[in-house]
Amino acid sequence: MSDEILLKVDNLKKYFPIKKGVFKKVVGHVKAVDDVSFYIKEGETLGLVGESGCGKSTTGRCLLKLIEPTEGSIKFKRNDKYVDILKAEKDQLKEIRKDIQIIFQDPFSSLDSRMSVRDIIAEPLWINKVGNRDTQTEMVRELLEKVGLNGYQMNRYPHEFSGGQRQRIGIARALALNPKLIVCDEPVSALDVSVQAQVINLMMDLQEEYGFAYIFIAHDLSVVEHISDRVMVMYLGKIAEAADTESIFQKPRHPYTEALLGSIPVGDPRSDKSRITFGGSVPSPANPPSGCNLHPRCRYAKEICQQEEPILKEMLDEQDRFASCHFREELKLSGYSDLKRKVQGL
Amino acid sequence: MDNNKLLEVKDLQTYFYTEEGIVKAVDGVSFNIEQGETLGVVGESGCGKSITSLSLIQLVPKPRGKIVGGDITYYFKNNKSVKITELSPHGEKIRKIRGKEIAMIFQEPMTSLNPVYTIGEQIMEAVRLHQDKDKNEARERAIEMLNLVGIAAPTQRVDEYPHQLSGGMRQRVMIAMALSCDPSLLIADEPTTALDVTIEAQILDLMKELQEKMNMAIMFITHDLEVIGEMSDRVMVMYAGKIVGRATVDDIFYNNKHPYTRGLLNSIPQIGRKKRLIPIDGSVPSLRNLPGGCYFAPRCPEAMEICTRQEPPTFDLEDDQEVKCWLYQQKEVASNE
Repeated sequence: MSDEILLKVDNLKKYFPIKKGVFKKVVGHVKAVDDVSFYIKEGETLGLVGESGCGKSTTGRCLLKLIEPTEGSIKFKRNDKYVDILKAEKDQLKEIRKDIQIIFQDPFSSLDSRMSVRDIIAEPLWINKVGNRDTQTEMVRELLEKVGLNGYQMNRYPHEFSGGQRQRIGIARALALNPKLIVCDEPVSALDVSVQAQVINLMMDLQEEYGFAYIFIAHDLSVVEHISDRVMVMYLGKIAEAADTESIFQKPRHPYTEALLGSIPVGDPRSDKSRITFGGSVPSPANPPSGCNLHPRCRYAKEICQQEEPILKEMLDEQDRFASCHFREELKLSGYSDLKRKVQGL
Repeated sequence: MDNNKLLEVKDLQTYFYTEEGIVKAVDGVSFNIEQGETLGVVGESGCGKSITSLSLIQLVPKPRGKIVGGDITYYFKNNKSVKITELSPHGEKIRKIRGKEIAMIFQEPMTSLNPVYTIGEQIMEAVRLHQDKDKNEARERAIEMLNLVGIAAPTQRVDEYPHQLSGGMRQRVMIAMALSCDPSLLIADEPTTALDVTIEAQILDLMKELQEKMNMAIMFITHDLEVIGEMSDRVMVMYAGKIVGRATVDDIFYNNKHPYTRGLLNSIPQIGRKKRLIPIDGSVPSLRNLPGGCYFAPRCPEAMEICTRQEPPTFDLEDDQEVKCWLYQQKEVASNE
């Protein structure tokens, strides 16, 4: 990991129009991603967590321009210069996309069932005209071995593999072009527990070997804690808090993070947890609450929270820590270890 | 006789007859559920945990699936009992048990609710089927239940359709429906898997609270060990259609015996413990193509020569644990002497 910034996102917005009536009049917008700014350093893993509908997947897809963002800029480092992905020409975009790859959640629908594994993994190679047919086959063999499969399996079709193996194929495909950043959208959520651990270990090993960065989007907080260097918590299209993993989990500075931590099931039957749970559920992003979008669910909400929207700001006492809460400096919030205590005498 | 017994399952076998042969989804499973307790069932996909629960109320998918052997005995509150396995899946008698005595909630609340009826009508259907209530009384009961599961403004919500509710709300409606007839046993098949953590926490708290209030037993099926740790009194671990271990929840976490249980626990990342995960090698075997001997042997780090040859019996250990693994053969002999 270095301190060089690989990708910088500024004021990213993605609004989906809501259309109604015969003439498809736009009656409103779903603000899936609403003014999000963040950065990723080379070789690090940035975890992205939040409840469903908070915009984490949309953010991930905007980075590859799989979805056209409404506004903002995404600057990606290429040959020591920062190129804005959103303004890039077609040829330039194709070049940049070699460096940013994606792994999807569902290993069953993300691989074309009519293509052999060889063709699936070689597709990014021939699209980008890397090598000839023979060298491509050789590369596919190497990639398969890298992800823990066998080279001779390349002529098989996806249905012949288990969920965990398919996810390995997806990873091999993402690795084919030697990317600098891999966006992982819930890569292990569809896998069985025992297989999930294999894939997590594989992903961490590959990162160590190749030194690329991950954006790891997941809803499972313990998985994110395990794999990430830094974590960004999103709520209703906005960033609630961003900091290094340890701080997020042990010393949260945003009430939403605290409530997320309080919701994690205890697991250990010998410990007790004081639950800080949330009332209600995520409001519709088409009609977010006024002021701070969390205030109807927040236990610390005061009058100002209903009127004024907090801005994501760096903490006064800590560098590289951001929180968007009016009371981020005053609130004394509990971290995961504070919430979960061993019960004495059991 | 044990008066606390609610359900007794003996050597249950549920097979599926497919074109590629017989799939033994549940193969010789025995267990009890006592009144008011929570039995956790864990296992990975295809281990037979859902089919076991469906067998309990004769809901095995037709025409391929069939209960081919074993007994399921249900004990009523008045100490009478009925053998569920002997009832016809379409008969009057099983319908009196389904919903009234044994209720079920499923993973995906959207597909389990009917989109063309209001949630009130759907809860009322269950109430009127099992209780002698007229339409107005049933509606009142529905509102009462919605209130109980923490839905705000129940008098208004009762006339809404499932699509007007969020995922967590729908799961609350499912729970309201399941509990509307005061069941003695609630089967919850991955009830929180489709929900966000914050909503999951709400639903788990709600289930615990209602269990205490209504004194019902819960059979809690999940693949998530952390949820098991929070919810269960006793746990059984299933693998490829068989029970491989059974113990109290404390023993599962602190004194586990089966290499599979241990493997599962080592596979889950724990917050604050930055250690490399220790996964289980390989993947869950297909039920169409099971290995010989112990089904777990090919993935087991402690496999011995006998494991690939012969299926282990279930050994009873001290402290009420049962484990289906050859490692404990000696130990049982030792403790018997």
